[in-house]
Amino acid sequence: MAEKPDPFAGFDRRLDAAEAERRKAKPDDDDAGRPSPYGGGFQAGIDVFAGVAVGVAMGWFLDGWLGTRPLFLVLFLILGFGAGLRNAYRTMLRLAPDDDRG
Amino acid sequence: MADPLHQFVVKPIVPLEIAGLDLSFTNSALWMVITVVAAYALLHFGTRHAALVPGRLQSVVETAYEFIADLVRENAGRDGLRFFPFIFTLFMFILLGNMLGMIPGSFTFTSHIIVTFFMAICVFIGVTIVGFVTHGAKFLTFFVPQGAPTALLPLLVPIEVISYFVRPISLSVRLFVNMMAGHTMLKVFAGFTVALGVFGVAPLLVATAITGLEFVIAFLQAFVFTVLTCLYLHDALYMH
Repeated sequence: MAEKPDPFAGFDRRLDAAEAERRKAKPDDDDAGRPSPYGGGFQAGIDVFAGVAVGVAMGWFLDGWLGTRPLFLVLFLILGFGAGLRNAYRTMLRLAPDDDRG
Repeated sequence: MADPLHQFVVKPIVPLEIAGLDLSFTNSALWMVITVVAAYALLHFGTRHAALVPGRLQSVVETAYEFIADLVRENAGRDGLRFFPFIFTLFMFILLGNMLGMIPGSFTFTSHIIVTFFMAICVFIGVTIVGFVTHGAKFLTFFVPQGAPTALLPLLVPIEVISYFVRPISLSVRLFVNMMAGHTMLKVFAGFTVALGVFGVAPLLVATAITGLEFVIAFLQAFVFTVLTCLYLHDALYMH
């Protein structure tokens, strides 16, 4: 009966090779699970929307508290829009595929 | 035609009222319990007979574990791994909630803003506490952008502060909108299929395609929620 080949012959060498291969392949895997361009745009849209919504809410309550309507409402609407854009920019940087990073 | 929003109605199963508060056990709560039981069963039976060469269930569990561990390491840094149990729980809860919501006739609790907002506000408050515990009062300098001209700071600091407080809103709205919009769209096309009779084949094809897309979104939104949690954690741990 022929001797069965030892399955563990050169195991460490093969494991090292496989791990090196995996490390090399890693950067390409980076896009896994990232949203499509459409999805990315949708995500950024939600960021801008949330920014404006939070800005308006903050301004509204500050005005109600200080009795200065509509001073803070207008101010925080603009600031909220800025904050929304800031967050959208961050989201795009982190969630967009590498080739879209400016 | 069936009401496409009917699927989102929260119905009490076991009515319960304590001190004027409606604490009924609802269909939403029931599906959360089912999700927790399913996640526990998956992890329990997947690791019960842990073998060197994993079986099918064990490899599902190991893939999920390694996927999230890599995610935390890459996005929150090495120190973020301390919070791995929380992040893994969060991911499994949202993922299984979204996936179980794809079963016809089930209830998708992630399509309710109050559920997603509660998860987001927990993340937000927790991350803020981590920031202050790690850096003390120095964490407040997180709101001062590095290298910005001093003249612009009165404008930039409020924007940074607001953009910080926007996080729980955008985090919760993102998950809720994606789940609700997709499920509504499915119901609308399913309604067309019934209403159009023979010509219902066209909307049926669309509904089939959307079902596939919905499974992708169910995973993707659980993934996005987890990634953003990790990124917020990274900000709290390393500040920039």
